[in-house]
Amino acid sequence: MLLEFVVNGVARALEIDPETRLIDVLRDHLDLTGTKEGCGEGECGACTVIMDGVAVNACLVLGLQARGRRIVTIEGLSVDGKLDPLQQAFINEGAIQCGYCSPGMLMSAKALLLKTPHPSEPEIRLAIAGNLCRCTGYTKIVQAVQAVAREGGYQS
Amino acid sequence: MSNLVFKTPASRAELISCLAAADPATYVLGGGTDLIIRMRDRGISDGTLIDITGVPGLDGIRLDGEFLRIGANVTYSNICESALVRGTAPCLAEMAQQIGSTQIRNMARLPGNLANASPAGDSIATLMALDARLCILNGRGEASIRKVDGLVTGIGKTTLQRDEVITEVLIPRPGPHQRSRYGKIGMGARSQVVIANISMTMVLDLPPEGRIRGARIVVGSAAPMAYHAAGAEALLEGRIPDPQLAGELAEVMRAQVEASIKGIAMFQHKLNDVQGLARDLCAGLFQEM
Repeated sequence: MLLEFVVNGVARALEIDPETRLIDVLRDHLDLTGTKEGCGEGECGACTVIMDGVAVNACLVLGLQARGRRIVTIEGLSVDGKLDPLQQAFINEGAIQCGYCSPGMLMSAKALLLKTPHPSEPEIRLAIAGNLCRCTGYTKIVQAVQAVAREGGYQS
Repeated sequence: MSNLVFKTPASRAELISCLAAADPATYVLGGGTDLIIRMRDRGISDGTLIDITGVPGLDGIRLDGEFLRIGANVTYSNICESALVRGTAPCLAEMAQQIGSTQIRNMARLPGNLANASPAGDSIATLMALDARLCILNGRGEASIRKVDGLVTGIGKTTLQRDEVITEVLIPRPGPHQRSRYGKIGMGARSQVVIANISMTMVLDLPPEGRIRGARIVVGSAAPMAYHAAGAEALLEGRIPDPQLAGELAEVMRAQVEASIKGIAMFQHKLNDVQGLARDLCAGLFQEM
């Protein structure tokens, strides 16, 4: 079946099987391998992408459910080779250890900041509650999101 | 090569014709957070998916003279962000806020939770306590109303027929003295065993004369199906809310859950859990009074 949607600002049209999940479309069809698959059942959040402005698990969305929608993946965060302020903050604060959760974590944090530019710490923790970091680096991650929120210079 | 057919009805009439053609391998797709896992677990690669998210008129939350009406395409995020829900059925907003994770809440909807009839389906117990009804549409184009109480008949089993779909969840408009609270002890975004170790929803009326009337208390995740804690509901009838009553309620709830877990050792913790929940809910509700 034909899937037409917009990924990281680029209109895409491709033929997929109905059971193909969004994560498979992104990774296997579009070669956007920054989005990771962890548990495959919505528990870990490693596959988080932004669909029409909100965070979703790409492993729990069929590709065809994304028809006509706008998807942003980790590859879509940087602009003209310049990292998104949130990505830079993760580096500055040491909010990355093994890195497997980082793309999903960044997309959940990005979705939060799009909606709530100056979130409280509980709001940050709630927004990333569906993202597991097995290196348990949550403190630095929360600090990184706070750093961006504090600067208030967050531009999407 | 896939043998799955993906249907995208764009009107009520198209939805009805999709339902009319439904066979045992037809699945209604809302948010998909349960269905997609089920498809993969069972290797479902043929059949028909009916994606109802393009059907107009199913994405609103509104209050009329009789009901708070929540369309089938309203997500849990929509519910917890709705001032109308918070004002009309606080326990439903509290439940929605605690279900899954942000990512799940952005996709999942009430009807899927009901139709899947998981023992850990958080919303079933809350909707039972609210005496909610469902607007159901079938393949002959007939709409009917069915109570949530009685919908679930076993683990994964409901009275929903193959050609039926839930189009709206209807919550009776509360009287002026209704109050409600929801609590759960549990964690984890979606794993079946931990989604809610136990939940408790309490809805009651407290008229100006100060005595509790018509309490409805429903326990989730403490038995194959959510159930009314009938002894606890009877205990509250006509009583004046005070800390002593909260203590009595906690004891009765413990006994009810003890009966429902049927001596299974791994569920013993639910006895203490429900006592704590009962006290928490009373603290919240009685404080408001």
